[in-house]
Amino acid sequence: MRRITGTILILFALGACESIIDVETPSDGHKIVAHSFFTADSVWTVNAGLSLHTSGFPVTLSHADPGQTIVVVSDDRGHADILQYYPVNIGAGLNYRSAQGLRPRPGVTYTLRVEMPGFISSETSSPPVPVEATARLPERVAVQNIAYSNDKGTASLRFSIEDPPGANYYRLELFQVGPEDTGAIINDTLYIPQAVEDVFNYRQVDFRSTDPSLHFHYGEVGNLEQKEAINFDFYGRAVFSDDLFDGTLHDIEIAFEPYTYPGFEPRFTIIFSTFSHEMFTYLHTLDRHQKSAPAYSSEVYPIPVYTNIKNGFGVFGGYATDTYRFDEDGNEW
Amino acid sequence: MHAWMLKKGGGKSMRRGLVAITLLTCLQVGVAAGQSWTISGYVEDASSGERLQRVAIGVPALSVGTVSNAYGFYSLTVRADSVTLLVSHIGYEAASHALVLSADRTLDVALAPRTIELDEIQITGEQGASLKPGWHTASLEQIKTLPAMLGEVDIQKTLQLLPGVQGGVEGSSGMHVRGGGLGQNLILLDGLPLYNPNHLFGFLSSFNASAMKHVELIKGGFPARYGGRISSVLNLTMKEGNLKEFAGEALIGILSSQATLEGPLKKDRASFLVAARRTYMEPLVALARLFQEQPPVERTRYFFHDANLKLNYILSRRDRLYVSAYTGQDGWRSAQDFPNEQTAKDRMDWFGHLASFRWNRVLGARMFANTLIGVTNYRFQQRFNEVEEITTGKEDFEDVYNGKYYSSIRDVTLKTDIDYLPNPRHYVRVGLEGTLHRFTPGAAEAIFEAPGQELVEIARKPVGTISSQELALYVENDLEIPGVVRLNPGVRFSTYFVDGRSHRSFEPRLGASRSLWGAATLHASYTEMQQYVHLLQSHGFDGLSMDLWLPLAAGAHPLQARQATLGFTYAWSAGYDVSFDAYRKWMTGLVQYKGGVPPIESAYTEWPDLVETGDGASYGFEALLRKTQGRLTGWVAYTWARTTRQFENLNGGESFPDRFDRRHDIAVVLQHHLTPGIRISANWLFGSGYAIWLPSAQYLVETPSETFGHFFTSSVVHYGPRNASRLPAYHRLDVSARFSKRRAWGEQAFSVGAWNAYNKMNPFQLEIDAPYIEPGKFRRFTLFPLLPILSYNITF
Repeated sequence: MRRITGTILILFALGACESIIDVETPSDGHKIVAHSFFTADSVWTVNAGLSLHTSGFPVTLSHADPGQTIVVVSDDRGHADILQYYPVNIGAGLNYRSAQGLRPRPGVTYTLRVEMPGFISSETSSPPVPVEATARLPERVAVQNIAYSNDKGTASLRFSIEDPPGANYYRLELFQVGPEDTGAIINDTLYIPQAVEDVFNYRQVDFRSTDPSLHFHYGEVGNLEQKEAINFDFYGRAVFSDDLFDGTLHDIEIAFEPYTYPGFEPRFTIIFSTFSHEMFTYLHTLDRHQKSAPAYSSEVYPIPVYTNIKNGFGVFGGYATDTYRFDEDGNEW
Repeated sequence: MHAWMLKKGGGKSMRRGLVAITLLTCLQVGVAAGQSWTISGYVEDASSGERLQRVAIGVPALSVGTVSNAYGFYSLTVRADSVTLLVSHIGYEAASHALVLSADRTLDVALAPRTIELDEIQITGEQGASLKPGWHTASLEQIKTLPAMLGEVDIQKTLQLLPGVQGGVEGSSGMHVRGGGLGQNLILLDGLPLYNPNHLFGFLSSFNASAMKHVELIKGGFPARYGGRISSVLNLTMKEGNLKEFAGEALIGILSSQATLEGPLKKDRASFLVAARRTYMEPLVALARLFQEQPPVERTRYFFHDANLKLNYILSRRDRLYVSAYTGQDGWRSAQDFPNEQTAKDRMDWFGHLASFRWNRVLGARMFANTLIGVTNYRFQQRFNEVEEITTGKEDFEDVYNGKYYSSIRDVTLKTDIDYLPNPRHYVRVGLEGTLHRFTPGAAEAIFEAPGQELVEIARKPVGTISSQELALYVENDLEIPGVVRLNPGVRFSTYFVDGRSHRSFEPRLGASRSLWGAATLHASYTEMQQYVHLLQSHGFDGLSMDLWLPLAAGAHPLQARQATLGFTYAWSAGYDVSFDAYRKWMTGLVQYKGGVPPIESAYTEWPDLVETGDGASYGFEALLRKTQGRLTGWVAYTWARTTRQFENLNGGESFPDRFDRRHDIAVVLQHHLTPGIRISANWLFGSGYAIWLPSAQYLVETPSETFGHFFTSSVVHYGPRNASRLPAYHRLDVSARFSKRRAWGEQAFSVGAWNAYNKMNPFQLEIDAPYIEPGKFRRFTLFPLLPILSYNITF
């Protein structure tokens, strides 16, 4: 399409031109941006920043003054924890974590409140309004009945999950332990490493499945055979809902080609996460937002990124993770 | 949900009432017929034999009259033994015939074209009582002589100068009528719908004005004989071909040239018309190579061509046969040579074809039948070919990748319309229409060949080819209650069969007008329309490339619209007339792509999964002041309108302005005859800014990286309320002068002028991706600044 646009511009090249104009936009000014993906495996952590106008270098985005930011997490019983500034250079803004080492509890609903009362920028004469969000930490759903096989280089992994009644959201990731220079990830948390022994060197493995539940789709599921070869979104991870197996014992089968590292025993890890609705929607819209071009210069309509932060941006959502490690013989390690 | 949807129960009684009115008035005509004589026949152009439509035929002494139908047939029943029949038409000498009647009588009338002298009265449009708000008959003479971009005469762009019609993105020839979309216009070429009415990526309409005889646009008060689209009817009739002598026209423009030839195959019995147009833009597009500084070298080519054909054969006094055909193609070619022995070729083609066979038969003095069978087709396809030459040292071989994406629609239509004119107060029309639709809404094929590897073939048709059938029946009665009101009640029933399911539609129509004083008339109408095919358009452009025509799918609803209008017309004797029209329109079943869905996705996913469905509403006020006589003619059009959309899954379910919502629209069109050979014309347009959806903030997030398990910080653009911003106002002045000279062999004319004469930089596209731009400032791309108008035209 860009080449077509180029052709059109060339066709009228004698006259076509560009200039800078003013357009009145509904600017949101500076709003508080808060991200917190909370899990029972980690202490409370919140990343807080500020939004900017749509123009300007992203690298020049100014963050809030740590001393002028108040971050409070409270539960549905009224217990509140004022998080403390944690000077670690992880995430898009400033990090705040529970000084008491408190962690979220499954099944409990939490409220996040962030204020920047003293922050006044050169562009605004008043501080951004406080933001608030509420979310619940989902219960963990475990993988079970795991079976692994490998036929001439193509591996197959089957397992079951007991889906609780109601809407549930999941993410499935597969990793393979590799040599140290293959890179490292931090166990499914965006910001804070747990401990040195939890850090593994392993590579994410792309997989595929004919299970319609796992497929990314714009709407109702169509012809599965035609979709079999289509890669998942989220960089090889499957993020999906239980729409097609609500409240049942559901079998999932995936196929993949393990990496080959001479002298290195194949070992795998699957991480099965249960997401809150907020986190699922956020990741879904974020992924699609970043894969679509902006509205004003492309052929697609843009996708707004979901936020449950009232008066601000970002997301406050919980998740629970079940991890299973197995080797080439299917034995847990 | 709109209020009218909640009142469907109340609507039923109104629908029943309209059916009753239609049927009762149709029954009443038999009683009214009584003892009388009927004069019937055809009206034609004396110089060419071309049948003339909408000719006024009347008996002034009896205060009765009628007009000829689309095929020049008329029928007038009078209660008198002797009458003087007066026949008059715009641009023709009036004719009168004294008749003594003792039985029904046939009388064909040939009207001589009026030779216009400069000081004589010029008439360029309909006048007086024939005025209807929401109905426009465009003068082809005016269309061909008004300033046109680069001198390319464009029927649809001229229609955009009328109130209630907007063009969409800058330079587009599409029509957004009263808040409707491009796919909601029923564009009929000799009675068959044309699905691709554009050339040049939507910037030029595909109708060759030289081949046309009549252009009519209906925006509201739709008669029951029209159906299948919800927003407008653009009715184009091709010339039949000169039955008397050979005639022709040729035009040389900046982008293209065209030629039209017509003449008798057998004098006064059979005739033909053929018209063709072709661009010669390849050298211009080749300029692209001059701007390339580094590989890959890209060679681009673009062209379009079209052709019209009409054959006309008078079989007998009662029977006449026509063949109409249109074919058009746009082609875009690109070839790239990469330094690594890799070549890539890409080609896109847009095809539009239409062919019909029509049989007119006079069934009696008061009855006329028109039967048509035809096929219309639209196809878009993109093909690409990549070849990589690989040298291993021992041998050379090639990896070849071929791919194709295409979508198409093909209709086969059979329909019969019967006109029955029992007396001058009634004009009954009934008709039956059946259409076989065949859709291929997005399919892709790919083949990969590499030596030593298995041939990989992929074919994706998520929906495949869908056949559906549409059947429609209508009854319409145009009746006059003298001194009280003129009514046009009608009903249209239709059924659509697809995938073993059927959708039914019952569409009541009612138009009414009442003379107030002199030539002042009050008009009102209420219509319901239903549409079974959807046009799914990509976001970035309008009427461009990969738009898909789609059938109703499982769970999808037809497009429906209800429209109510209230209007007023008044004509002065000095050639001035004015019309006002207020309308309100509700639409349901609108579709648009979901966020982030590219059109190519239709090759992989069933289209209902790609779209959001919602409602729309539009209301507005239109005013049109025209001067139709004298040296100076033209019009001033003003529109105030508001158009909204409401989709459950968009904008949080809240109503938002349509992308082409425009509050104020003004068009001033003037033509002045300085001398018999010099005509100057000017258009000035003003439109308040269209709605646009722009980002309102950006912030940083952590995003999973494609490298294993790492995250990177990226910027997210936040979009505020949908379409909450406005583009700057649009305005433009076009001026041209036409110098014509009569020669022994015909006439030659030279047009010169400027399109966008004061070089207003109207935005075609906005971008903000340049980081140095200050907040609130956008990079504006203007596609059409000052452009020349240049053309040379001969007629003989």
